[in-house]
Amino acid sequence: MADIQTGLDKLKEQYEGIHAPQELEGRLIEMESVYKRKARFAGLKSWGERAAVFVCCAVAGITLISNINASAAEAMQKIPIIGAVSKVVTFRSYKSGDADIKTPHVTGLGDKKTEQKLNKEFDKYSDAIIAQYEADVKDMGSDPHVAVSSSYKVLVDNSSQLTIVMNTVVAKGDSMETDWYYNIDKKTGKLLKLSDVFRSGTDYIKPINAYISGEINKNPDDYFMEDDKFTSIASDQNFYINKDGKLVLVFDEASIAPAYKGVIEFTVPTDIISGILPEDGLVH
Amino acid sequence: MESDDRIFRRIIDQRDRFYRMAYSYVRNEQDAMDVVQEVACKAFKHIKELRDPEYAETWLFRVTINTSIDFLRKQKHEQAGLPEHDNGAPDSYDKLAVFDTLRPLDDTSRTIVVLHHMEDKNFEQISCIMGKNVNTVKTIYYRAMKTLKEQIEKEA
Repeated sequence: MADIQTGLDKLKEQYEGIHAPQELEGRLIEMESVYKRKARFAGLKSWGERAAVFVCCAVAGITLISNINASAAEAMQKIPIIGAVSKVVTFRSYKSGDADIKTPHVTGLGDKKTEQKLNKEFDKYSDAIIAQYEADVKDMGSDPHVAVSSSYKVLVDNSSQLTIVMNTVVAKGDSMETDWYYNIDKKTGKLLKLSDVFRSGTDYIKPINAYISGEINKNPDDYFMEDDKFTSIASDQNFYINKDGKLVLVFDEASIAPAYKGVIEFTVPTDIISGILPEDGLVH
Repeated sequence: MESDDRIFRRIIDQRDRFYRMAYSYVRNEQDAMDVVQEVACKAFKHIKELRDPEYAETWLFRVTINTSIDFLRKQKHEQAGLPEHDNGAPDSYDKLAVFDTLRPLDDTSRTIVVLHHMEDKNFEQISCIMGKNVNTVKTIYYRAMKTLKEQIEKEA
């Protein structure tokens, strides 16, 4: 037995003498740097979620009613109209250190109250990001390593719909990207919640979940399969309606898939939800 | 618990261990590096599950072994119908006696021996890594040790 023990010790010594070529370290370091650019790190998650939750709560209760043209509204059975000539402009630009935060304001909606309410939401969104940035800089002392960039884009602006996306990237070692969508139905003057896209009282969650689960199962390696596995959309899931009138569900970075995959989107084929859509809705 | 980027640092710091395991299957440098890179890529996708260091190590070894086996299977499939030739150029490590000595063992037996003696894993841990019952692991191990003893004596 002494012989085999000696033999095994010798094997172990030889085995541990094998080293990976230098090239492997380079390859892995490159992968790590890609990961670091994309991944959300632990501290950032709560930051982003705070911002997202804040925005979500802030907009959920708002219904934008435009009554710019009272006589036209009355003529159209009191359906309020939002002006089709709305404009979105940069109202405020905050630049400090590595922060560049643009706040949009909408003009030309017609109803000043509606406009003010929506613009107030944009202000709150930016204020929350600026406050967090300033707190982070303060916490980090003389060598702050945080960068924030927040801007907006008008995704759709036609006679029936205005959709604005707020894109925010926060980098603290790693980076996290958030897209938050505002969809306004110009015909009803409503800032849409996901449930508003469908006929009142219908179950939209089930068919959407079935579709998304099916898509995930086609490429399961691209998504979380254990912790954080996709189970269901939220009733107020982040979404937008694209220029083709298709419903797109949006998931935050690292919520259902690895952080390096970024923000995840699913475009829902209209035929699977056609039975629960209103006749004159924005999705078709 | 480790933060997400710690697991990646672990793969880099301990790359030799995963490389050796991959090498024991694929037997050439480039393929072994490809396997380890693939393992790192898979770790990306499961990063949240790998925060527990102990679980992460088990997971990394298991995925290294499975990725190596998949690699060989794919290579075999791709070469089906082609004239017989070497699977990748053998390199200098083949000169190392460790793989010559372990050559009489099949992949499973060799891996159990490597995990037990080279990586200091106990049977319970090997059972988790390989997805086999502990008693099965022990049976294979003792049978492998018998073969290995004969091989070592033969070489002596």
